Amino acid sequence: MNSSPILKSFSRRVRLVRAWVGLSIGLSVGALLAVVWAGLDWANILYAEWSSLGWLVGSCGLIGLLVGAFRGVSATALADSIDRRARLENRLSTAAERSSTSGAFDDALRQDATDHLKGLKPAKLYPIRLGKWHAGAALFSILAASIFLLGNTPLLLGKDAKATRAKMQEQAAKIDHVLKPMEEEAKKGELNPAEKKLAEDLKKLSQDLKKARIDPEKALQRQNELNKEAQKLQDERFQKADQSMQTAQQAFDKMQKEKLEQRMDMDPKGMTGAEMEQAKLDLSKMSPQDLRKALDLERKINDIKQQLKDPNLSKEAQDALKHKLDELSKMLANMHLSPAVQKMFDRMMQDPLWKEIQDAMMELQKKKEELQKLLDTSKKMGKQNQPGQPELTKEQQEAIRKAIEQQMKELEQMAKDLSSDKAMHEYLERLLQALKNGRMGGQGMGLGLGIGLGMGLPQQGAGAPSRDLFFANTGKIFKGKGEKSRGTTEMSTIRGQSRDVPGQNAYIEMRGPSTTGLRSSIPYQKVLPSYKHKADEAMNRQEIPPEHQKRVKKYFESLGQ
Amino acid sequence: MQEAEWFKSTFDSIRREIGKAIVGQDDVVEGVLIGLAANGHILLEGQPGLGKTMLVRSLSKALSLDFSRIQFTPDMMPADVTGTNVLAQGDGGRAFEFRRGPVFAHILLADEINRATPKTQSALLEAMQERSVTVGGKKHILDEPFLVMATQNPIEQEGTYPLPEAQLDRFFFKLLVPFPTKQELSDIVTRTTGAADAEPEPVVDRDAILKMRQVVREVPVAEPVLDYGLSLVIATQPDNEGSSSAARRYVRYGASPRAAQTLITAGKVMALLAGRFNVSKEDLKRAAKPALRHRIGLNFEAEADGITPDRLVDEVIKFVETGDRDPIGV
Repeated sequence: MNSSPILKSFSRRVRLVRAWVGLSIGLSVGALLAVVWAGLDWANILYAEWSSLGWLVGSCGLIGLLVGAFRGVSATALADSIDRRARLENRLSTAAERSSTSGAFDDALRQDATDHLKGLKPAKLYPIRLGKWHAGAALFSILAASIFLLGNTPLLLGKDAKATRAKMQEQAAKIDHVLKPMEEEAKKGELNPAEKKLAEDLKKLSQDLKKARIDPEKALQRQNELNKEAQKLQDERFQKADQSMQTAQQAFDKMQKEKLEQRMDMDPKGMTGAEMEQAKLDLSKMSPQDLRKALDLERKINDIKQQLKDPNLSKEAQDALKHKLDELSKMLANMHLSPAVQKMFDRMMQDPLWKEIQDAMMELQKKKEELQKLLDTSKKMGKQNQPGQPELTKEQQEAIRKAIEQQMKELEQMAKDLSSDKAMHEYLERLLQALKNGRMGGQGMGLGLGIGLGMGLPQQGAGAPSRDLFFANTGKIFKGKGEKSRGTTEMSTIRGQSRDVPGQNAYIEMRGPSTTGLRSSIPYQKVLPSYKHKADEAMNRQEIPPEHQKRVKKYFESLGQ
Repeated sequence: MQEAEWFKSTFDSIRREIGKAIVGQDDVVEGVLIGLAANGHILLEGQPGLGKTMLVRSLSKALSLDFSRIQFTPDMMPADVTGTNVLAQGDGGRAFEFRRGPVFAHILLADEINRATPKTQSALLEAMQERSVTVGGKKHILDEPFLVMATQNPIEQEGTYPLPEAQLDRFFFKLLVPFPTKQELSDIVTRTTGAADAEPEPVVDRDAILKMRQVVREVPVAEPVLDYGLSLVIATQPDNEGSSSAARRYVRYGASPRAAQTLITAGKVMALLAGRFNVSKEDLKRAAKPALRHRIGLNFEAEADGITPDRLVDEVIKFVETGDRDPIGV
């Protein structure tokens, strides 16, 4: 009886009806949650959008549907249910229980139940209909939509308020443009806690702007705070990059010296033991910079000597090379290397393996210099353009930013690799092995000395190249030829009286545009008298608290100077 | 299947024979026959002259079983029911000999049982439950089937001794014999004042009765139905987890486990009578009042509020129905 095909068709129907009811329950719960969320959104506690509310309701509905569809249907419960609905007077449930027994009436009972079941239609016993849960889902959905609409609709706003709101939404879109890559990085776990917090703060600001639930001036103030924070984080990154670069440099120098000594130990080539000891002693006294310079000079001298051996060289070329050789020799002589060290260098320059090491060092040095340039460019991107600074396109900026991010990561990894002597040795050994194996080309030998801006944050400030958050994105780059950007948002601290608590307190004076974004085309000197007049009127009407009147007056006086 | 049909036809034939003497009272007749088939004693309560004695007498005639009647009075002694040892002259001289009382019959009519003293009433206790009588230290087994049908008058309370709870619990059903309708009364008068009364003929013998009881036991009960019956009994308790609110308020003591046995057994008989091979919840609902009404002790508040046992049973059924929901629930 339990495995009867007829019962299976009832079971399928029950699953379908349960899915239908589960959907309505899920939708009801989702819609109820949406009501709460919309309410919180109205109260500016929890940000919501149409899509998010829709997702919530839809997700809950889907969960309800799946739970309903896949919840088990026990044969006993199904038989009992059919008995009730079809008024079978417990025939089916009794037959289901006694499906495998052999009592006096069991066969008759099963036959009786089957006969009664045959005439029944699953769809009739378990109809799909609208119930209280469906009504609840509809009611709560309407309620949620109403609350959300009332809290967000611009229909009830005046013309100016609508315009302000539109502008704020434009600004929010710009923040979102900046925020998106940050969020992607955050998902990958590439942001530190401070950067994550900055991203969250930016998101909050964007949300507030979208809903126009923040005072424009407050938004401006908040934006400047965030910019300052972004600048701080960026500087920290630069600092970190510098430190990593220093570490790498030290590692190269150390390796160079060690390899020099090791090579000499292995193949003294005519140097006596005393000379060797003296050379090592002198070498240990040399600064890394001097050693690097000396080796470089030795190498260049050696190269020129090799070139001069070429019989096909023209007279002019020979003269030029000799001239250069003299200069380099003088420079080397000025370094006052000890004879032992000089001899050791001479010997080493004849060693083909040492030449390879030197080539690698040169390559590394070159790479480092390139990355230093990137770092400088990056820093300049974040600050006011200097006179004569080449103008960078958006694409260039983006490419630089990405390159720096990549190099920064590799540099950090390398700094980690070189964190201890042992690690450094292993690393350098690998490097040398790679050089010997001829895998030096491309990818900067996998070293990737780099620095990273890594933030992708807009740089707010006078003349910031098309990266400002709150100001219009004009695409114009101020080149600093005496031209001062409008909308300066530098922050300064002025001592003043706190309204509530007497005593000294710090507050931020915002010097920025009076509206929510667009730069004014009217010089402020022209509009200043009318604004000052309006401020005076407001003070006369007592609209400005007495404790702030002095500050307002002082502000306009400062503008007039 | 054949046994079920035989059961029904046998039952119907007895009912038909009784119907020759008894006009109307279908529910009472059916209740009595259910008690007979379920091996349970019946307590009939009704005003004098409603045919209670006639019903029992007709039943004994239709069944061709031994029948005895005891008219209970306050001065009746237990030995008058069970029998006693008497000194008798035999071939070997004088010796005590057990003289069997009226309890030694297949059908015993205990007329106006509440007129006897509790001592005499309790003489029936052992007979009803154990189907045996112990006299002078010797146990005498009663012949099967043994059916006690007691009557009591609900009006006259003077000089009566209400049956103790223990004895009431031993009755399978308590049937209320209602006053006949005008049409029924007309038939009674016509039939009994005419030339000759129609007498029931014996249609079933002792073995058939015993077989009927055996058939009843074979009827299966599903778990939800059993659970429903137990819930009904538990709901009559005044202080149980499953007690109904009405029972908590009005009941002094609830139905005993015998009530659950009674419900299920009666349900089985009803199922067979309905042509089914299983007990349904409807059967239990129908059996609830006759099975529970004498097993529930109401308190003073119930009397003050005019709550009868039948009304309380209705409340209990409602309560259980409320909690008995479709397990699929869609």
